[in-house]
Amino acid sequence: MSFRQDRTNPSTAVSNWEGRSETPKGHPSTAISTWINGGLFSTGGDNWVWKWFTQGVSPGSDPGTKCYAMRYQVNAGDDFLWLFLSGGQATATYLNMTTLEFAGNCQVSSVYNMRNVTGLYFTSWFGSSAVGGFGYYISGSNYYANWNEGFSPSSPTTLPANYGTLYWTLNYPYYTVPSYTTQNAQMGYPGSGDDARYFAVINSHGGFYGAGVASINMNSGSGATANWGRTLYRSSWYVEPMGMYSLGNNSSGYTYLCLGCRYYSSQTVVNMYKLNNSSGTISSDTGYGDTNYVPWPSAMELSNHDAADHFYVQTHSRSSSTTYNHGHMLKFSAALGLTWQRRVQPGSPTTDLTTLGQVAADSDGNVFGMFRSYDTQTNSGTARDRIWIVKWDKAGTYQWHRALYQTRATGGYAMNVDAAECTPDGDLLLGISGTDATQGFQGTFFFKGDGSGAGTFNLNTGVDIKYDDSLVLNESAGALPWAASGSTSSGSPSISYSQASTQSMTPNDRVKTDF
Amino acid sequence: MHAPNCDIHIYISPDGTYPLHPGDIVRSHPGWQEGDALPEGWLEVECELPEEMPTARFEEGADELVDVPIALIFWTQELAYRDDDPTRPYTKWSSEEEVPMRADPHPADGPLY
Repeated sequence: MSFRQDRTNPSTAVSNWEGRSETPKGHPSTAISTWINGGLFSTGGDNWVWKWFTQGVSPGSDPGTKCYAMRYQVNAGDDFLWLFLSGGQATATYLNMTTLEFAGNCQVSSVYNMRNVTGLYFTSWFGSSAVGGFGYYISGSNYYANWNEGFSPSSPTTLPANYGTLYWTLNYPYYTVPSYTTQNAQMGYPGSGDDARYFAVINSHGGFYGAGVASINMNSGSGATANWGRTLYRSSWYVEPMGMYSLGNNSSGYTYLCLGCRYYSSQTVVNMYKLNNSSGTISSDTGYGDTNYVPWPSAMELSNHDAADHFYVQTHSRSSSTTYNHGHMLKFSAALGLTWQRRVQPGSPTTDLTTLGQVAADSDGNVFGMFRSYDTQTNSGTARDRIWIVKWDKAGTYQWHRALYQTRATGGYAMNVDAAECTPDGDLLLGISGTDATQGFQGTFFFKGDGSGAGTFNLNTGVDIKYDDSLVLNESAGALPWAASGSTSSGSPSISYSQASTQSMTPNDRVKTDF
Repeated sequence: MHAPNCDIHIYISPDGTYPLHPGDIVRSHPGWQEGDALPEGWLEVECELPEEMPTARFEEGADELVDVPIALIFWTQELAYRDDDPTRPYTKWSSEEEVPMRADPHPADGPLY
């Protein structure tokens, strides 16, 4: 988020302040030392400004309290950052981006162990604003894809209402999905003014897995019914929905899907589908990958710029003609024409690159790709994750890259970007988590600026994080070949519906740590 | 199976880089639009597709969502040039069939590779 000068001290331009000595001016009602970056970065200080952490998480604990999704909301008055957290329960909380205080949170699922809440979005539901999300939970041997949507009945026209305790009505249709799978449910955006909701889940067909796509109608909260269901599949393959957006209304809009399609490890294809919202029939589709270039997508991001919708898809690939795996960024038009593709690979040392499940794009069409290498050569023989963030502009012109990693000589292992978002100003917000040698952590980092700075900051006791602009990442034209499409079937989705009682939850204290 | 179509534009740059796409031309020649004459040295790859591109072959009467196919069909596209005009590139598709493995195709935990 850019530092909103008009919201802090209107009499002075923040850009004219002198670093630490004047940062307390930043917010007159808050002790700035509790949240502003006192150390700043050595290369100019226009980088991190705030972090929020939970510490002491056991290494490898699952799911912990992790930020799985975030959405920035421009609001009358103060803007908000919505975070969907999963732990023993799914919790939605929102951060006031002026005060950098948590303004409220609530439990969005009464289901224990709600996981991987994705597809956080805002909607209008029969006259009320609402925020919804999509996750899954396990009951017995079954997985349930669980769709949640809540709203504040005491403030039906403005969301969020800035008070500490929210009262939400929970409505969640759920879709039973196969056991023995790591569910990766993706939520589409609802059509404007419509009552229909769209989602995609992994769908078992015995010997193979397809992507089950469903449209459901909320019927103004009186009971969900199925509009249509469709399975996108390749016989004997594993097909997983990796990204989804539903745009427009229920009669003339479209639902876009990015699928990862895998036949064991010998062939993978990235398939893109454009379905008619009204019926689920295919409007267009395309795919990339073959037995030589074996790509696997991880994330899809909508970017509306120049008065048109565009989609970024992030993949990595293994190729029989190269030694190491690459990361790729592909840009598609709303008609699913491939506009451009680029690829990256670390150098010095050259290592394999995979992708993270997050990609962010701003309103100018700039895109932030997020990749990961597993580095065993520069850390005293100890393997660790290195996160690579790469920025391209809308034309596919490489802008910069940065590497994010722990710096301990030993230990300092895993890092992940669990959520990413761009503000309307083009600033980058990241939710990260990881483990070091002794404990896990989850944190949310906020970039002041566009993420192009660099420096080192203390993560927690004995652990430093480096945001590095000196490591080599090679960038070149993409090389994924055009691929064949898959198959489809139609049918009615199996939808169950329940409605929980109104629940309330008082905001928890969150720890803000200087660095 | 959705019918394949040629709603795709693939190009070769003057230095021989392939595959490239409309945005790659725009990046090097701002203002260029699809439908304009190609900048000097660029070639468009002609789209050529089989009439059908099934990804599996089944016994007659089989339920594709339940039954195991007789064979899987893998399609590969490569850059080729016309025999009668080696300056005209096109997309050449070929397929291979394979008896499907019966094991669960679901990937194990962890990254794909």
